[in-house]
Amino acid sequence: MKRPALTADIWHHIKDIVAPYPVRQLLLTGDHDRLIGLLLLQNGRSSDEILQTLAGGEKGVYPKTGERPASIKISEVVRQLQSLTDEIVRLKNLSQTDPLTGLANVRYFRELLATELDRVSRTRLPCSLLMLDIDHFKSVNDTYGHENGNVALQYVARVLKQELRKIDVAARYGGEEFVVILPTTGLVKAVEVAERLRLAIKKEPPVLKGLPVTITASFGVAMAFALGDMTAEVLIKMADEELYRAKKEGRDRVCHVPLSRPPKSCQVTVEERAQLFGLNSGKQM
Amino acid sequence: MSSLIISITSGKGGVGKTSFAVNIAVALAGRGKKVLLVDGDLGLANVDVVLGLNVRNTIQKTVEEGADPETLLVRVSPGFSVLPASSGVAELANLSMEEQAYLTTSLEQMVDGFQIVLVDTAAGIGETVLWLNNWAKDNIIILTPDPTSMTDAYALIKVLNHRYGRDTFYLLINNVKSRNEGDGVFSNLAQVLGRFLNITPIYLGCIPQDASVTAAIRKQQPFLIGQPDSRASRAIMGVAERIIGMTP
Repeated sequence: MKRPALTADIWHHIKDIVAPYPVRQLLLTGDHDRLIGLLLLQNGRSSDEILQTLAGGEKGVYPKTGERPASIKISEVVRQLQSLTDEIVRLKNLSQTDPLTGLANVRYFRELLATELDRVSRTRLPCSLLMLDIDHFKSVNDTYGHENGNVALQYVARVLKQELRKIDVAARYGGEEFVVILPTTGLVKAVEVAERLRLAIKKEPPVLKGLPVTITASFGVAMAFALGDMTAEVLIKMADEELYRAKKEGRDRVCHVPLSRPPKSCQVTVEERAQLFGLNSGKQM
Repeated sequence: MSSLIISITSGKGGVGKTSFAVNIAVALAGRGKKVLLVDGDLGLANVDVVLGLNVRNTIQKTVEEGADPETLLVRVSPGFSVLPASSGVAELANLSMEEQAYLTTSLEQMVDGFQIVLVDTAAGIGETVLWLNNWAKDNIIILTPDPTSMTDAYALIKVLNHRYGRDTFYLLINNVKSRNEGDGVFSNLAQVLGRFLNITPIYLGCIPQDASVTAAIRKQQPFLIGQPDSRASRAIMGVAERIIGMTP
């Protein structure tokens, strides 16, 4: 069986599992049996299984007292770590992915968006959200059948994957609707990205029932930037409203929130002024 | 370490904003806090003139040339540093959003070593003032019993609330004849804020009129140092305690 490399990503998961134990220290000091024990235990293996593994089921894992751990034991540790982490990665992917498109699913998208918005309020760096919806998807489904509707969805997902940066996250939001998180990206740049995606989706029509069928999509763009109480719900709603506007204005286009929010009137009204100076006390409450 | 970032702002000019900022900074530093005073008022470049500071670099240049942002800070006393307006703080609001985001990061870095960061804004409700107030985590609105000062303070709170959804404001009433007068101004403003904007402000206290304050301003010296036993100085110390109570 081909083993995946012990990447930084996998290391990250390993650290997650055995925190707060000093894994690095256990590895360095050669206390591999304890390390494996911890990993197995924290992955819900029974103590019997762990004992069996440690008590020589696997040769060389259990070093004799005073014996220096040989390299074969380290590779054994690595193998065990890998089989565990493979499983973790597989389960994690399953719970985070939309099976049809391979993009993130809604649940994972919400989790990531919340993390991004935390980052926005902490760092004051902006974050943008794109929402896109395939135009006239119902008629694609009706004309070419659901199987081909799925092909169209997969096609759009592929374009998103190709066109976006590594740090961006594309997710299937539901039906024929997709969302894209653009971390540390201001509105101007986000609108550019949306425009690029719009053109890329149109460019190479997928083949449905032997015919190239041009797919277009409408986009809504919103941005979170150092706002007091910008919640995921508010940001999604803003992007959704812009998407709705794009549909209404004729589809196959990008609509976005205003580039700089127009200042709301801060004029003090007559009523406010009156009460400030107690001239209107009879009317209070 | 997460620092307390508090703007000191007023809407109307001439209500004693910068004087309060400098004195409260001195008081907080005197209570053992590491304090940074950010002077956001480029128009008057008050703080660095008052304290006779000399600035070589701007924030933007620091970011572009990769210099240590710490070089922008001017240390007044062991616990008290100033980031002068002439270093470019006040120009931040006039930059594009991407530039702002980038430069803000360097501001955040600078701020990191301090427990309390005070941002002295300019008067008015211009872009820079609003931006700095929204950048700060907390806002102290300073006003006097004067009707125009009250109206301007109210207008500033209203625009910060409408534009950025901010809803936590600390009120400080300056230049009052008596504590009663200060309390009255606060409760009046609190009522209007509650009724029209659904905001419940927090009372930081009031600073009495004090001849020693005027004298200190003429001598360009914080009155807390010149007249530590004056009524105004005692009131400042009380406010300092309340601010220390806000520290996480």
